[in-house]
Order: sequence, then structure tokens, then C-alpha cells
Amino acid sequence: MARRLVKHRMLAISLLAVLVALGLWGVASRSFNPQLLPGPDRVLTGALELAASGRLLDSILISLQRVFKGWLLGTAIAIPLGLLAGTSALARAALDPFIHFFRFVPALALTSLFMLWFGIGEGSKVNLVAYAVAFVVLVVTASGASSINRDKLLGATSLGANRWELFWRVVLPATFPAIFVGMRLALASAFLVIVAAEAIAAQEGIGFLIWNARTFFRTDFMFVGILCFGILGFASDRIWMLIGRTFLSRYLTGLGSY
Amino acid sequence: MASSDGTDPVDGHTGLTTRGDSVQFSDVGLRYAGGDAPPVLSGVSFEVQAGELFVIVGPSGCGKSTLLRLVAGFLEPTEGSVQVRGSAVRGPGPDRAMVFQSVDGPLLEWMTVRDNVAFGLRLQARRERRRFDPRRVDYWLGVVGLTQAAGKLPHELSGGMKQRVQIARVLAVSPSIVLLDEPFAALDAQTRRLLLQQVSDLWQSEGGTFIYVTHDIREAVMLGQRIGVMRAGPGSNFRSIHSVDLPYPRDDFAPEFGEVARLVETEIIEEVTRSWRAG
Repeated sequence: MARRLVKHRMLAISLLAVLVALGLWGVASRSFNPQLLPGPDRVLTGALELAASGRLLDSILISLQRVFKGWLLGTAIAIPLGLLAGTSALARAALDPFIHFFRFVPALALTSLFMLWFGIGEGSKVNLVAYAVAFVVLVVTASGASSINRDKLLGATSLGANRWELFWRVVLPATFPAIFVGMRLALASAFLVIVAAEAIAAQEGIGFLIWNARTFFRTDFMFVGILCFGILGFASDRIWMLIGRTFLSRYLTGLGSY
Repeated sequence: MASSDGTDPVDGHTGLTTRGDSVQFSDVGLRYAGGDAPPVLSGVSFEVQAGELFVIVGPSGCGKSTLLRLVAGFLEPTEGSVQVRGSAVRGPGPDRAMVFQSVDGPLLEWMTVRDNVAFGLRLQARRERRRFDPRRVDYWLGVVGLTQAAGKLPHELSGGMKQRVQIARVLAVSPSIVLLDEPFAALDAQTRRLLLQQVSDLWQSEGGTFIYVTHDIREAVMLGQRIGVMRAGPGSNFRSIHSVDLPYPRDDFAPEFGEVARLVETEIIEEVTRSWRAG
């Protein structure tokens, strides 16, 4: 009961903080050229305009689709490789040079190449997001898999687990927290990269909306796009946390509340 | 205690399907990879009888746990041989299961107490292509007094309860040799005392060879049929092995208990001072 009260109070504080920030933004925008810093009212009008034409929803849906397809694809590639690199010294020796080379090659540097390789359609955008996502998930997964308590592994083998059973029944579930956190961090990377992916050769999406707004000097549209990214990212993160708490809670007992 | 008559309600024999195996160390030496560092163990020769409760004590860092890990098959000796039932140890296996000192490491934190205890039994059933019998889990949960906590996750348990889960999951796979590596070192004095009594009861009721490593002299004299005192490392081995001819359950206030404890303590202190002078 008391905990619930505290939770409500924290929620109220968060809401209040957001309202204060909006207020400050409103006040600040009065002393600037609205073309440079449009106030909340102008941004809202812009959003309504975009919503009325259907462009807002279309942009949101297409960007979200790219983000999640890329996120899932990158994750699907990264988890097995991460587990491999984290548990086998041989695999690690073979993979490490590539992991830590490409990890530092920004997705932005590959934007044009990916357009050439995968075309101007969805493929290039999804693959670019997947690329950015994969290294985050890979490194965090490998780090999680390699830091499993030694006694946990020895204990399981001394109870009769063979290598296969050790992997499926101990290593994999013990790495769930790392995978979960890795995927959470990668979600942010996915949103980061989608702007770049939609900067070139895209005709829709929130990233395109922002880049296109530049041409027409519609800073209010830019703000709408920025707010969309923030809100969608925030919501995705909350949903991912909710999924973790609902379906994976017994695996995530070691994680903090943040 | 549920197992006081030593009978397993499931299939009518004792909980452990074995009366224990012997362990033989012949001139065992262990040097960690690299080879330049002095050996951890050198010239270790001793035998633990089948069904014996053997306690190993010694100054910290002398290689007590290393000896246990050699029996478990987590490590291989670089010299000499470790034999169980007459054949050399090859890797870990459920005939030599281990209870670890670490309270939070060994348990599978995403599994309930029940599933943790069932872990080895499930693997065993799979290997022998028969159905897993949950009654054996119930039995061992009862023995260690965790029936009420069966549905809890490890993070909801106290340290003493976690160590009882470890004991139950190890005994459940019927190891012929039970290895205990300072299992209660991280617990408070009262819990330690109760669990020590439980280990002693379990050994008497269930049988099996128990090898127990501790740095606590009272624990050693409370439990051991024989107590092996190790020298300070490097190149450690047994300085002496004492037989303790006191009946169980032992009374740590009895003068005979004190005599043995003093003897063992004197030897350990001598080893520690010797290592300080040398180091």
C-alpha cells in the first residue's frame, strides 16, 4: 500500500517535471524567432496539420516498422554470436577482431554503401538498423555469458550436466539478463540510426519528415519529428521493461529497478 | 528429521543409493599453467575410506579447496593421480557432487527451490531414459526442511536456506562422494551450528563418503572421523592426519573435544607462523 502511494507520488513528480519543462519551453520560445524555436502551441498546430493529412501516422508506422524489424534482425544475429564469443575461447579468438573493428565503424558511415548494396527500399534501412543493433547486443550478451559465476557452471556439471545441457539449461538462462539489457540499449541505437537511414533515399518515415522539413524551413515539423522519436523511444522502452517484468521476471531478479 | 530411519519412502532403500566410494591420492602435485610459479600442492598422499567423513583443515590459501576440486574433477593433477574406487578421476560427474562455499553463485536463480533440487535428478532421468520422479525431490526437500519454501526463488531465501538447497540438490543425485567446500563459512554462528548438526546427521543416516573442507577447528572436530591438517603452501600436503574417536553427536564442551581441538589448532598456528617467517 505504502509502496503504491510512493509510486503514485513519483509518477506525479515526473508529470510535474514534464509540465515545468513545457512551460519553460513556452516562455523561452517567446524571446526567439518562432522559425528558430517554435513554442509548444506552434508545434502542436504543426502536429495537428500533419495528423490531419495522415502523414504523421504513416511516418510513425513506417519508422516503427523499420526500427523493430532491424532491431529483431540484429538481435537474432547477435545473440548466438554473443553466446558463442562469451563461452568459447576459440570462437572468441576468431570473432573478436571483427567485433571490435566493426563495433567502432558507425552505422552513419555505412549509410550510402547500404543504399548501394541493398537498394533504396526497405532492405537498406532495416539492415542499417540491424547493423547498429547487433554490436550492442553482441557485446553485452558476450560479456554476460562470460561472467556467469564459475561455481554455477561447475555445480551443474558436477550434478551431471553435459556440455549441451550446460548450455541450454544454465548458460542461456543465466545470460537472459544481459540479453535483456543489451536489447534495451540497442533499442536506443535503432532509433538513433533510423534518422540516418531515412535521410537518404526515403520518401516516408519520421526521419524523412525531419529532413524534408528542412527544405521548407518548417521547424515546427522538425520539432514534431523530434518529439515523435522521443515519445516512441520512451514508449518502446517502457513496453520492453513491461515485457521483462511480466514474462521474464524470474530471470531478471539480479537486475536493478532502473 | 525426516530421514531419521534412513529409509527413502520412494523406493524403500536409503536416500543415497551408495555407501560411498574410497578416494586415493598418490603423490599428487598441482602446478598452475605457466609452470614457473611454485606448485600449489606437492606430494599429497592419503586415502579416504569408503563411507568415511573426512575433514580437511589448514591455513588459508594452503590448497584445501584445490584438493576437493581435484576429487570433483574440476582440476587435474599435474603429478601423481587421484583415484576413486580404484580408477583415475576423469572430469566432473554426479558421483562426486559438490556443495560450494558461495551462497549466491551455484544455485540457478531463475528456478524455484524445487526445480533447483530437481536439476540433477531431471538430467539423470533423461540419461537413463526414464520418467523423472518428483517424489524424490519431495523427499530431499523434506530432509533439509524446505518443503514450505519449495515454490520460492533463491533470492527470497536466507543464506542458510540457500545452503540447504545446495545440500539437497547434491544429495538428491546420490553421489557416492559428497564434497563440501567450507559450505557454511558465510553464515552466522547459530545457523552454522544447526547446519553442521544436519550434515553430521545426514552422513550418519544416509551414508556415503563425505569430504568436508573448513578453516573452522570447532567444525572440524564436530564432524570429522579423521581430520587432515595441511601445511602452509606453496607445495602443500598433509602435515598430519588425526583420528577422532568421539561418539556422535559430539559435545563441544566436553574436555576430550577440547583436547582434540587444541591439538589441531596448535598445528595450524605452527603452520601459519612458519609461513609468515618464510614469507
